[in-house]
Amino acid sequence: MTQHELMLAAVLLPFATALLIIICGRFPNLREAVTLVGAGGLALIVFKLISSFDATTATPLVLAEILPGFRVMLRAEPIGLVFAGVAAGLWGLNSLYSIGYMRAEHAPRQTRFYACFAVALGSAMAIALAGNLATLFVAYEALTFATYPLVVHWQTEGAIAGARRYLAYLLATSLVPFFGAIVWTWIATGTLDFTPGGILDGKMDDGLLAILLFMFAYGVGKAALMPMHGWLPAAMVAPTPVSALLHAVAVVKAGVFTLLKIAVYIFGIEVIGRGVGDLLVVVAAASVIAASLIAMTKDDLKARLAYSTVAQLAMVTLAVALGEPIAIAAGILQLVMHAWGKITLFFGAGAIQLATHKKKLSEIAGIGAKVPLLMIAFLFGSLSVAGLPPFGGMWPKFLLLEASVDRHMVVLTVCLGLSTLLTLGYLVPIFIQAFFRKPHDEDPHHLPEKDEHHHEEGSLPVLALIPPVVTAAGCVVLFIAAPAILGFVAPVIGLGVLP
Amino acid sequence: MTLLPASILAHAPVLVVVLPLLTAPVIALIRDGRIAAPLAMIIAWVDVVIAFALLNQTWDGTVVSYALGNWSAPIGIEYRVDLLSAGLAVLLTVSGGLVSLMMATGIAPEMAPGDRSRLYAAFLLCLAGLLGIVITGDLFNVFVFLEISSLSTYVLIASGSSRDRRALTAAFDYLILGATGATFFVIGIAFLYVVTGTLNMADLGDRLPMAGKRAVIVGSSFLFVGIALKAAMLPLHRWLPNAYAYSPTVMATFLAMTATKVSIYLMIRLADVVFHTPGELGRVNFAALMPPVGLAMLVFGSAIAITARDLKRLLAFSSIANLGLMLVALGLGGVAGIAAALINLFNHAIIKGGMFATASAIMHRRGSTQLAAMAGLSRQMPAAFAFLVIGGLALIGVPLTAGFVSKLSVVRVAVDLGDWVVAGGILFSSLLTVAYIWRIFEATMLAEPAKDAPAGDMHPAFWLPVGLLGAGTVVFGIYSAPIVELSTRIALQMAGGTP
Repeated sequence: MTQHELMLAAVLLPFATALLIIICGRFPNLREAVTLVGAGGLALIVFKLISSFDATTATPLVLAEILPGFRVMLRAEPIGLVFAGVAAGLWGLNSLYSIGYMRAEHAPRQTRFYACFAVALGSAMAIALAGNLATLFVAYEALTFATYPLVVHWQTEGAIAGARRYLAYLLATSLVPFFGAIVWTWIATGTLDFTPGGILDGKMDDGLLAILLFMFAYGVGKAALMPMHGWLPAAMVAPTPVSALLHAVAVVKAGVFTLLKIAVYIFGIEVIGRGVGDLLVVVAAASVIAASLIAMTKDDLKARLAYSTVAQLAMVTLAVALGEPIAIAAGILQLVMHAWGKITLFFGAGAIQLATHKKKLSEIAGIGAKVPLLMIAFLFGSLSVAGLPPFGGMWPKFLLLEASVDRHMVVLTVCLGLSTLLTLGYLVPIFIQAFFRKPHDEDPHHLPEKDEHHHEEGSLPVLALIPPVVTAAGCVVLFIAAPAILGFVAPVIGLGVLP
Repeated sequence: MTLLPASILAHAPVLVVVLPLLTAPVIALIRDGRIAAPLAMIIAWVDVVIAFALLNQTWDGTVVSYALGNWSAPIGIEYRVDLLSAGLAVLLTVSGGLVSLMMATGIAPEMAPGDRSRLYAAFLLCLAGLLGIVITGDLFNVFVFLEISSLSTYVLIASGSSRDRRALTAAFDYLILGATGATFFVIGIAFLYVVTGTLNMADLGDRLPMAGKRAVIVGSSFLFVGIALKAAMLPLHRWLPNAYAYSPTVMATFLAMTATKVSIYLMIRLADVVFHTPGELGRVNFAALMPPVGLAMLVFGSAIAITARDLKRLLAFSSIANLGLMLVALGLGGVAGIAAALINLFNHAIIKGGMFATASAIMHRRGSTQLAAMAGLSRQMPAAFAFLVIGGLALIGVPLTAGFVSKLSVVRVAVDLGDWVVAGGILFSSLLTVAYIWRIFEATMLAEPAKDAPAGDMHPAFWLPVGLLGAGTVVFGIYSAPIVELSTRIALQMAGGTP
């Protein structure tokens, strides 16, 4: 297949899968098989796209023209392919996990669940392969609406309220500042195409560019830059597989990916680096620290992970705002590494819940003996997110530090070091609690709580155990694979010699 | 390419009006609704063909002039069809045609069988009146047709009284306000007639520059207030919500698609042909008034829609908001502004028509369009729900729907002119839209269905109108060229007419 056909297939296959899922809705096994085949097919297509990518022959594929000049078009480029690879690669694993999780929970409305999942993946593919800002915006909105039914899945009062918050934040940011910034860019430059080196240089003065950058940074609400992060903890009312794929990979990564694309292809890295992004550096760094501190106060595991995500996403925003090729490289790697690390953690949190019916840090003392493999996978994920070797998460932190030293931003360097400590501070206690504390019932100082939610002991389906183990192993593999990823994206971000 | 034989085509301008006008009394006399309804339907669709023939004839800029009874203007009445008239005629007849398809079925739960043929007659009269307004080239003739359409509209609204007695007060409200508006209109005509001695619009346009300044200011002010009332411009909007909410739902569909659109047409027409000042009426700069008033309507209409408990009422207030958007575009002026207003006009008719048509189907099945009564709709009437979702997303202005094209076209003009207040206001108002649209979704999707809800999806009679309008909403959102091209051509012709 040609590159155009592959791109089209990558976007359309998930939608076709969704349709088949709805048709097969009455036969759960067949329906799940469709999901898995779709996920496998998509992974293959994206793999072919990446392996056959050649920058010199990549041409845009125009699909529609909404208004004259406002085109929907696809165009493959390295950063997008990296994102597509992450999302497509994790969909299959996550589907396995979903099957284990949703069946163990006897969840209702599973057909809608899998169908919306597929549509969300299709939207993520369209975001990854978007050839201009218009297309990206279209797909970005589609992703918001496709994920709403997933967030509201349980349809309890809490879920409805959380989903409302989710929608309110994402639409308020995207329909006002993001859309406004897009139209402004369009009027100012006459184009929205992603162009290496950017399209804005010389079209506006730097003060306005800084404002525009802020409109984008807050307009892309999916990047969850504080104080526009409120939707992310709210979205944790969703079933855990949703939190895992969407709120560690597809949705939030679509946000920071959008920012990376805007930095590289709309502003141009150098334009941001000459001072346009400086204020954003401060905001993003503050967001990193503040979110990490809040994460430490959260007892609920998923809430803790959500705030951790806010902090880790802000690092990508930070990378964008620094406006250095190395920083952008760090941002791209953070997108990949954090996805694998955080999905491991979410898988872990969900599996803990399945196995023990416990959701809170204070409740999980001593469960390590029950699910040792799971907790070790969890530790791997934690260390990767924190940025320790030999896990993939080390690379972005390292490159970011290097960029901050390059720019002589001492305070920032300190902040980055601090953030790693903080990350360890909020993630490692989970592991310690699970392995080195006695379960409450054996602890003489701790009276067992009278809790009506005290279910009988749960069981951990094997389908919910394999995915976290695989992704944890992936974190180690990525430590070795990182230079290859860097090499793939280096030409478009102007990174000469690899560090 | 010709759609009709030359002998008929020569009389097309008058036929399109006279056909429904003369058939209406015949239909009123047929007591049996089973004959009257198909007859009305046939007439409506013949009109559609004639209107398309006119569009075909005027597409390249030709202006068709038809002297009624061979008395040539300015002595006789001239029917004058240019692209603007033909475009509106197509919109009106297609609306009429689609409504006529579901009329007989849709009215069933809301009206006794014996009265129905008179309703069909009123419907055809209303269609004839509205068509007359857009076809005629004579200002007094406009007034006559305005009265024909208004009188029949009162009947249409009052016909809802067997379901809800409040339809009578709604009709009476509109009667009083409509008559006031018509009086203002005719007084305005009188002023212009006194100073120029002619009623032919083109002729008026030629003679006005020589006429006394004060009389023109007073006359155009009267005209403007009369039209503003018919266009439900704030604060003269009071009649609209009740009229839409209490009239039989199928007729509300027709009114929502056509009634206020004709007033927008009148503003464009008078500003252009009579006063040669696009966006201004006479020497009074009404254009300056429109953006603030339009913005107020956007915010006010959307805000009230959030509080509505009935789907029809909600849609009615949403219509006020959308009219606001058209007025904003009109007020921004220039070719792009007028084109944006027309794009909004056509798209809104399609979107809102689709929503009201779906509401008709729901009313027919369930006997109520209260939001509370629609619980569980997503499972019990999935097709109707799907069309509500499509329409709702379009009203929000989600990409790939016609609503996005509308919103984008206005925002683009505003940003191009550097009018940030207007651009920001439009973007913010879409958030209010999200709030009221989401009330529909939550009511239909998340609430537990009532046990005794009537079974079954839409009645087959609704499939074609609802399906076509829903398809139009999506198709014109992706392939917007037909509507954008038509609107731009019209706007260019308007601008071309002014030196």
